[in-house]
Amino acid sequence: MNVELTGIRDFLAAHHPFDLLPSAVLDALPGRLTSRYFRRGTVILSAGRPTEAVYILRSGAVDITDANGVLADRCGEGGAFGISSARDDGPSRFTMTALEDSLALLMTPEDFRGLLSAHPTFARFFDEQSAERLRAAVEALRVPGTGHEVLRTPLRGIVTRAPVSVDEDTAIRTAARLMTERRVSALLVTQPGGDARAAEETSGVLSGIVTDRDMRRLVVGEGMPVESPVSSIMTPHPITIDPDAPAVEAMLTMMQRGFHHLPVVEHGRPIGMVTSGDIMRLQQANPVAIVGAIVACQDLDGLIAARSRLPGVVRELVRQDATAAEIGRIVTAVGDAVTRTLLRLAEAELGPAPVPYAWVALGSQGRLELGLSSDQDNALVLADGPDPEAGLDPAADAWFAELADRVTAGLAACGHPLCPGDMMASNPAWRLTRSQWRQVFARWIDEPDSAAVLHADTFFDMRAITGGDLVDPMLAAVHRATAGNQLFLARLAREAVSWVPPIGFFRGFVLDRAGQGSRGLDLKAGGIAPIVQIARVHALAAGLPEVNTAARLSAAAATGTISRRRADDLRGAYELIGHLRHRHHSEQTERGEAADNVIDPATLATIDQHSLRDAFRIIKEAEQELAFTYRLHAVS
Amino acid sequence: MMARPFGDPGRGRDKARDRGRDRGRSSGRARGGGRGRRSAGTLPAGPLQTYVLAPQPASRTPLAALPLLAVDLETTGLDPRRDRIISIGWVPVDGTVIRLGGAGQAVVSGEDLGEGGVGQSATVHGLTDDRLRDGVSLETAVGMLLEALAGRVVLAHHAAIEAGFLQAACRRLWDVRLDLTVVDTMRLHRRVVAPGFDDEPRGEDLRLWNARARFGLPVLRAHDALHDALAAAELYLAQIAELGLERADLRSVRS
Repeated sequence: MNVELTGIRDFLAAHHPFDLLPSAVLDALPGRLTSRYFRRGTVILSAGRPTEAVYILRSGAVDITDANGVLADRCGEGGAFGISSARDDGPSRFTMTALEDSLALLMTPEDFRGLLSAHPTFARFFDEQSAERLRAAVEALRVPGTGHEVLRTPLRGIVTRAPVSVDEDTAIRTAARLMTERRVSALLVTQPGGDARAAEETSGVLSGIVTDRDMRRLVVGEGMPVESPVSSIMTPHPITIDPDAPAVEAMLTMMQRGFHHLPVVEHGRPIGMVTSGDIMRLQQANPVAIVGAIVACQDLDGLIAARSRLPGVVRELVRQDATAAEIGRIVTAVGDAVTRTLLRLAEAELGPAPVPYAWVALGSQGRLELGLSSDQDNALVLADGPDPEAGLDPAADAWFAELADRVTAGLAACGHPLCPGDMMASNPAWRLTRSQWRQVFARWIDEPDSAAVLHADTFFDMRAITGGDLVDPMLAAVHRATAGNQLFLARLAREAVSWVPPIGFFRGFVLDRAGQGSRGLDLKAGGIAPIVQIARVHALAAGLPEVNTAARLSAAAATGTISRRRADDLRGAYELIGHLRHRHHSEQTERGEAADNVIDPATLATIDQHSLRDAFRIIKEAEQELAFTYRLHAVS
Repeated sequence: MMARPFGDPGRGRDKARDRGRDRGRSSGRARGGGRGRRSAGTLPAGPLQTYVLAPQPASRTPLAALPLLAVDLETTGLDPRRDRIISIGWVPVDGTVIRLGGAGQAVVSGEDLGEGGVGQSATVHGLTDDRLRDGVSLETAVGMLLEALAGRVVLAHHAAIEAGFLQAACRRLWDVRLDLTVVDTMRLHRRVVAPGFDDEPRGEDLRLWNARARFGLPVLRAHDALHDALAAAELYLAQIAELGLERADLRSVRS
């Protein structure tokens, strides 16, 4: 009997993770299923009861609530539930209630377990050991690339256009017209094909190159007849380069020989041409070159122009296989270079500083996680005068006020908006001597319930951009004071758990814990901010000097304040969300929009939605652990 | 979809009409379909005998336990005397569970369709004469269906077509009058959309795909016998739930 339940098969094949099953398995699957209908309001499965099936929703919607009646997830068309109960052959941890009239396909727990054991990629989807799954998702997000050091890119990846070539017999006039038509300044000349079989081996083999300059010099200048074959003016046996050679090699060859064109040849036949323009464009996208240009700037306009190349670099880095962490470091390196240059330019006009000082970055720049659109957070740490108690004299402070105004305004002009919370060196509250900073930190640490502490967390991500010798000993003292300081850490933890990640996605909307949907996913509030804060609590609890989030998590795992597994999970989640954010930013800047952190879930691939759901769950679990450790109450 | 208006399932049910229908039907409807022109004992062993000898569900069988077989026929036209069956699709329903594993399909070979072949009907069901060349004889096709139907009630949308063509085929093939118990989802849908006494539903609303849309049921490939049968089965489950008939018995739904 040839039964073709193609409607059911195609439905399954269209939904993750069933799309991971081999075709033959999918063909046979519908015949093993049953189908049931649940009127809205029907309790399909109660918490504490074993499930009779894995349910796959064909239409409608089902709410999944935990034993306390709190919404844990909402399942729409193509979603599955009853998974863990079926897999473990145990009671369900959740209650499933039809939110709408729903039609479901039912798979027996035995069949489901059979699929899990036979198909590891399918099984991995249901695996709650998320770190590996997230890592796989992050890998999948990245376009298979060629190494992110731009100048190491093989030429094959750069030369995209087919070469413009003619054979040796072509008239100069025809060749010149072709060059005009195809808008190239150099033409490759190849050996002609003939009838003879022997010619096949040489046909299309590169024999020379003709450039604009040859045309000018020999045709216009020396009157070479335009009917002559192009071979009479070509440069025979040109220097060529292999497609697997790195871009830097082409650049060096052209520089050394004064060429502007280099034929890329494979097995004797040209496959393209690399020009000095191509290399220049590549260099434009080279962060090292940008930093080089920035530090050489002599005025703000030059700085703004150099910095404006950064979005292009980020786009290129996203397109290649750079990790979010790497991109964060590169954007930070550029931000630091901009800051240092602004300081140098300001000092050049204001005269030497009255006392030694440190310009410190806070927040994302401090953590080496700057984004294209990040606000600036910074402060000044000034050396103490002869009497540390006296603070800074007004004349000296005026100098630093002017310095801070110039640098913060310059940063804003270069793309880092002024901090809305005024956490900037231009604010007198954050322009203090080292003794004053010690007192401020001591107050934050020892009086964690005072109002002044609110939003002070970002100061614990302090990193010196200049004057590290002034700052580092002070920060070491801070870290000694935070280690094991339960009262202070509990306050930080409370702040961390106040960032509630969404549950997931439902019909193109972000689903929050109240069951409400919204159109925009705020990657910062819903993912980045809570992970940053969780990592900060763990690092400060162990008195670690690290400020970078991933580094904090690794270091904390090494000291045991967080389990290795949870640290890996959080780093994976952070990398995933960070990657999506960089991708979003680069898409926005490409469209000429200002970069923000809000993405439309409808633009996310299903696989990204599934991975984000994992990330949200990882955050929630880490928050629950913090709440437990620091005895925070009223945390769901 | 969430804002779909649902009436109280029991509201304004046409009790008078129900009663009237019950009166016109003998409550002790013959079981086993033995009212054919030939008695079951004289039938040759095979699907027809299997069907006839299998006990039919009693009229008091609760719907939660009622075995049905959703059936759809693709035909060359609408007249059982003149037109022919091209393909048959079916899927069993046990109470409120559709058993996809029992789904079946038979395509009738072109030779059995006579001179006319598929003709213009191909534009509806997409089965061309070529495709039908691989089919089975009408006798085999109907036999496969009867085997699946043994002990079950016929479930179809606008079931008069399915019943009429099946009975005509049995008369032609074996000279028997087939006795069928039928549940018609189109009739059930009349109750869903027009629960009031005088309400006359629009014909449009009663069509299979519109009826399904009312319950938010997914789109399936239409005019493929197997998928139409599945579509009717899913619609039936939705109707039973909507009308609150899980505790009712066969008498409340049969045509």
